Amino acid sequence: MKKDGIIKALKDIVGNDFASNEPEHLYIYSQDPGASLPRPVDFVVLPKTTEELQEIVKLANEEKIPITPMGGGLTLSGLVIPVKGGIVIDLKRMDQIIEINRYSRYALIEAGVTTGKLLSHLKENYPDLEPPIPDAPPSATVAGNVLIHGSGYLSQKYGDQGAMVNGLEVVLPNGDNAKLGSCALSNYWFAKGPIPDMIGLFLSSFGTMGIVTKLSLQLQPKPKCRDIVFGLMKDPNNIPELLYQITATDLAEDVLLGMQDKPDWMKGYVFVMTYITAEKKEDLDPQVKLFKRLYRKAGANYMKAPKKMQDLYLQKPIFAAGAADYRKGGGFEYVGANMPLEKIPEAYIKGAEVSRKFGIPPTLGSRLIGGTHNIVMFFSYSFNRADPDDMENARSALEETNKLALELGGIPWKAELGAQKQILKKMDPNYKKLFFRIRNLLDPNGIMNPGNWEEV
Amino acid sequence: MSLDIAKGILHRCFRCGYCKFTFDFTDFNCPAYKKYRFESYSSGGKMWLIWGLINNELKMSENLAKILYSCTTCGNCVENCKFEKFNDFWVDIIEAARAEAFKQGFGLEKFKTFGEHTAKEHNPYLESHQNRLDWLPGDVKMSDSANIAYYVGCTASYRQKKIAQDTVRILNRIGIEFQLSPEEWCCGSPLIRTGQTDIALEQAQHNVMLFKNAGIKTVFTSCAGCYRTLKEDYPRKFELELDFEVLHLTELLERNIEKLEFAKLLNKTVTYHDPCHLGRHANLYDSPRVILKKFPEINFVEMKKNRENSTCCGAGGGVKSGFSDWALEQARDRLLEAKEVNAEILVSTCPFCNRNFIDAKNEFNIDIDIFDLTELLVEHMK
Repeated sequence: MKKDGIIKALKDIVGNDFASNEPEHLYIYSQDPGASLPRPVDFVVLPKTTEELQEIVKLANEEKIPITPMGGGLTLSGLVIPVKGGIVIDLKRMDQIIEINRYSRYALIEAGVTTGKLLSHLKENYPDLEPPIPDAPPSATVAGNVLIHGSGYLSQKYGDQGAMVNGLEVVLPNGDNAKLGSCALSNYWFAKGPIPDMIGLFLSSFGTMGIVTKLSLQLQPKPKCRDIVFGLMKDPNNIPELLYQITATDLAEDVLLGMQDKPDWMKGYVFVMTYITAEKKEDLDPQVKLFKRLYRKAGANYMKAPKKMQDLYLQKPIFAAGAADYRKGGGFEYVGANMPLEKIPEAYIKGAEVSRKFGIPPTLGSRLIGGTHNIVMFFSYSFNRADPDDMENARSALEETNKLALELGGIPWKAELGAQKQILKKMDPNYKKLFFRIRNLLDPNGIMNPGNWEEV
Repeated sequence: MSLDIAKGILHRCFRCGYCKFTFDFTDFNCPAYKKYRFESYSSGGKMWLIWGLINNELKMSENLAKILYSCTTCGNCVENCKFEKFNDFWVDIIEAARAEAFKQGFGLEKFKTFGEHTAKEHNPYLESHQNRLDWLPGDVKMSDSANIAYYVGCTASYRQKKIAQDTVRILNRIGIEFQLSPEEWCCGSPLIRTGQTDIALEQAQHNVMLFKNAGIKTVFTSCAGCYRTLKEDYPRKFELELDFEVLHLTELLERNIEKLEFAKLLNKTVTYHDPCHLGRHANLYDSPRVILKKFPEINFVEMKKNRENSTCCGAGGGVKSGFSDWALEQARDRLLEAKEVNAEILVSTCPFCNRNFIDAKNEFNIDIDIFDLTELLVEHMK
């Protein structure tokens, strides 16, 4: 079918207003806010229902057109920019909160629901529940973050958001609609099993296995009071022991670390921020005392957090996009890498060296995921979007940082194309073989976000 | 602001999407994004399109012009963008891009028509300038020696005449002396918003000279759009020196609040719609509320989205003219928000909002009364 026929077919499915191949729309969907170079898009379509999405996938399969699903489009690593052209499927019209189950504590939502919408819905209607929230703008979709093993608020306590999924509804590459988790045999989306667990196939596979249309996400009880205990340490080598001790208290809701050159007083230090919670404000005080002591023993000094910082870190979501305006350049991208805790000191020291090598002020951070079982490290590079050389410099820094993360035994998170290739190169051959076999079985025509998770 | 100047800051837009929302993320509040849902229609999307245009990665086209003109210039993006010294310029950048659309021949036909007419007859309603004061009742007292002038504006002069009539009656009742001129011209707002700045500048220069020559010290308007234009655009965009202060009628009345005496009770549930040009554009939220709360027995309620979070009525930025059906849909949605809080009356302080709400009420048969604040005052004051 020629392009005219395809756009007509897409419009027949979703209506004239929600499919386009006009250059203005293609221009916007050919790039994301990260450092990736633009890549061409042929069509953009915005389905409203699962049935419409199924029709689109069937059409793409018949015509062998690549399809790339998109949520908020805020991974920064170009995952929603097609590698081989074709159709971008923007899922944000599928934006219904279908159910909040208060007792089983989950939200059943469509794939286009933003984190902002879920957060405000719960605040208004279920004030004793809260969702996990990524360090991303409120326009990020819940599903988008879940499907990249995203972390954020509550990750220390409950694990990454991939771990908080109870079930998925997925449109497979042949157009079939599959339910995974307890919802496969129950009206309640309360758990993953106990049945063979296939949910993991769709996490961090970047739309290569299917397109998620609905998901159930665990909600958590919302504490009445929350505060942060702020500390500074000179020597990153103290980090593992400090975090080991913090998590042993079982009192930390979240733990964030960071190293940055600005403001000046933070230069040369790693800061630690432990989120504590309580039912009453006065119950926070003994916890602050405990952590003060604990910080001191592990080589960190307690410091009263400046008000501005406290406000920034206690707001939900954190205004992480501020990093893009750090140098007034409108851009930043980071390597997020999940790492073993013992390699974090080296990650800070070597990460700062990489930043300096590329002339970018070091901005490093990390967040605990599920206790000390996992920690995600952020190596952030801001750039000037108006300067192609500066963007190229950022891309080079990212490439080198991905290499560093892998050398340290970590795994780049929501990996952009270059990082995917580095991961595949290092991956156990039989894991790779299994992955490709399953993928080819599901998607024999190779239409699902092709170019991702592919070896050259 | 020209696109050349915009080029120096446009790249700062990260397209993080805060601009789409209300403060608390309960809803999308960017009218164009909410309607069209392509990222390209979001405020950030438009910034990136303009960036593409400036850098010759895109050409001006009918579709690009349509996207640019879909913005009601409501200023929700200005309120919610968190990048300081950039967020102030969103509307200016959109208007600069619209000027470029006009320059390249992609201005909407309807806009061209009212622009050309305004250049000749000084109003966008295709009316004759000599009929500008036809609304003025014979019994109204004015004073040539007053140093306060009522700038009536085109909508109240030619369409929502009752607002102008009620405005002068209120002033007569509370004894504020004022004058008005048959020689006032369009403030230029519809031209600025649609990218026809050259014609707007002529209108602005004329109006400033008119007030200067008459020795006016205070100019007040009953229209939110005129107010924003006189107060913000004249000095900032056109760099005109104003020898007078600019007030909205509600500010003038608030200064004379003790003179407002009421003869009738208002036993109704009333809500207030913040016109974008008064609220988000000029930070004037309190004066209308202060006056409303003076009405005896009023049950004043706020809509869920109010003040900085207010929903646009849908008429601004040329949308009522360029996308008339959609403008009505937006007004309908706002009226339904008023119904949600059980309001029996929706009050606004902008003739343009008022017109759009009345049109939507009639089109969709919505059971709510629409008043400009002036009308409600005249009905209830001594």
